[in-house]
Amino acid sequence: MYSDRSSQFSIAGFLVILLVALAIAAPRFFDPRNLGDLGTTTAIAAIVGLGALFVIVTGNIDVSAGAIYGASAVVAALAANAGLPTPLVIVVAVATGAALGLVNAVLVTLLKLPSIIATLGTSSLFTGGLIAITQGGLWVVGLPDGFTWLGQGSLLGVSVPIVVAVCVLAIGAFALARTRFGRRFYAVGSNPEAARLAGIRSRAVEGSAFVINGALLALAATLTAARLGQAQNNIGASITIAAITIAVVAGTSVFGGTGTVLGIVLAAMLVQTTTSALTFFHLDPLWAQMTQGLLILAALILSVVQRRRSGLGLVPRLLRRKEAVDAR
Amino acid sequence: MRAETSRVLPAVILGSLLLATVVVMSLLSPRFLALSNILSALSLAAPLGIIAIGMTVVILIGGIDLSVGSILALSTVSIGVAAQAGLPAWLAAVVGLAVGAGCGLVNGLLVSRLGLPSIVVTIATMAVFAGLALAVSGGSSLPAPAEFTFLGFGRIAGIPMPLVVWLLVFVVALIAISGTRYGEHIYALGTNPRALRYAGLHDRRLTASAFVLSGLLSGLAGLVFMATVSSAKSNFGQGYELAVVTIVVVGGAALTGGAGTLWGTLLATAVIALIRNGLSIAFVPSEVQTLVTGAALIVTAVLYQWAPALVAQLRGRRDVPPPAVTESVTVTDPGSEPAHPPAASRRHTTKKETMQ
Repeated sequence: MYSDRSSQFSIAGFLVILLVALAIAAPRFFDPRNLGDLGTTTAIAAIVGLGALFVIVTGNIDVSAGAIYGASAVVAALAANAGLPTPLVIVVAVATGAALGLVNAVLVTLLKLPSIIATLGTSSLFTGGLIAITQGGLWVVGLPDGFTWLGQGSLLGVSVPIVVAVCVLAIGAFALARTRFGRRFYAVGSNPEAARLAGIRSRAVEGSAFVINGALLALAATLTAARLGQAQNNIGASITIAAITIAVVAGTSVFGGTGTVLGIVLAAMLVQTTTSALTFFHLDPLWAQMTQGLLILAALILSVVQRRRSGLGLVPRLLRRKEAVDAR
Repeated sequence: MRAETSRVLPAVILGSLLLATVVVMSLLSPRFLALSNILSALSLAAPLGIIAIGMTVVILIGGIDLSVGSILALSTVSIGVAAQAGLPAWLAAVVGLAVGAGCGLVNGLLVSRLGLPSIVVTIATMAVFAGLALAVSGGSSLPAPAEFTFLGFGRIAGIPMPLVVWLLVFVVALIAISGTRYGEHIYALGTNPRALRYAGLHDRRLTASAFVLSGLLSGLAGLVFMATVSSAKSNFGQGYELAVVTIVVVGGAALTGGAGTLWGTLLATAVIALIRNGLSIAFVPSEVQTLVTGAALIVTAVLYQWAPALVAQLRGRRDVPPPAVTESVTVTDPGSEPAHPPAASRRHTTKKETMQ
């Protein structure tokens, strides 16, 4: 209803084609171990994408995502090594991410900076600050088993990150689609003036999007640190582009106001499968970034072409035709 | 009021920043104020300064170009590969500039023809161009042609060549932006794209031209940078987008378009180059320098946003409204607005008008 269903169909179609091609070209890609790894990274990527969805839906952008991710991963790893119980580690890390998101929120909503400037600035503040505080290239290794279970263990046969992601995404989907709290993000993103006139405090909504994004980034970073059993401060280097790719490929309008969690899940699968396939063929990680850049462009161009051709996507167009018939 | 603040405010802020920098840095290190040091600091900043000129034009039309660092990298490795293939040095340099302009054209067409926001387009092309640079160079470092030595290390009247090139570009750009109709149209496009379109001007071509200029100057910056380090590598220019956007914002240009000057950008480049140089002399590690750059970006952006209202309040005038931007409008891209079909641009237009 609120998003272009056809974009979800196209991602799903694309994904199927990719998987079939992989099945033919590299059957060993579907080795259970590799698939398990793919599932875990996809789950983590989807959490990152959900955060980006909140920010982009309100018409903003967060280019400090990688910095928040890196800082939270290091904080989580340090907390775990300091002997904190795992639940507390999660709380500490997520609080850190939310606090960094709050800095962005304050700059964008109270000080009224454009989000691109605010987050470009905080991106180097957070990264520089982290390296300065930890005095140089920090590499936290030897994380305790209790903590790495978060990333490597399984719950009822399903890997823990997938369980966490399913919970988080379900809550996110429910909140965005069914609650008054969630609908406000779309309202502010699609027409801030109308939202204000309807009594929505749009600045508070935009600000909370940044805080939620920070918290989700930190959660994803914690899972990644646990999965790898280590964390270093440049762990988030590729996250900013990945987050934006997932959100844009998911059909989230860069003008704000649209985007769904289902789209995010599909896009995360597509992006991670592509990345994983590149790694599988031993290609440089930079190729993964390039592919993500191309995916963003493809998604943007597709969305424009679709809108131009009909004003609507394929499926809504069919629905509309049916309505027209009914009306007759 | 707008004209007054958009000219006076940058001058005041940049002037005091420059003064503060000079005082603090000369206290940190007595070597700072030596002419040779100042010249070398400015010369080192020439690539950034050259890119910042193109970025200013892009920001003037209400866009942004985050792909400049990757374009720089792609240009340098293209020059390296062309020279290795046996092309004469000047022709290799032309290849590099053409590659830069071509990248800019890709950005420009995506933004102007498809009506896409330049932030997202250039984030994507940033990744694509970086990947291409890696593909072209195979990841290895390529030597610069020997003929580039003068460009990198020569001097004219005691002024290092990179600085000479930067100042030449500045003068040409200044004439184009302040003295020609093209410049007027650029400002008009940033201020009110619809009016420009109704006046029968080619708004799309203007938009594209700004991105081509930004790409071309990124290529030129790559050429200069390559000459100063005598090599080309695909990871050159990383983080330049942050440094350059910082410079342009510190220089007083507004991301909403239509406000900003090349003089502001020139001064801001110098100030930031001197800050970095001073910190390096004082052995402040580079991550702290990054931190300072980020802080400078935020602090000056806040100053520009709030100073006019603050000044008005100090004078006891109540008729000047506080900053009108309640939504952060810049994700929507005024430069792209005219290219929108009505259905797609409705939302977007509402936002822009809310702001005004």
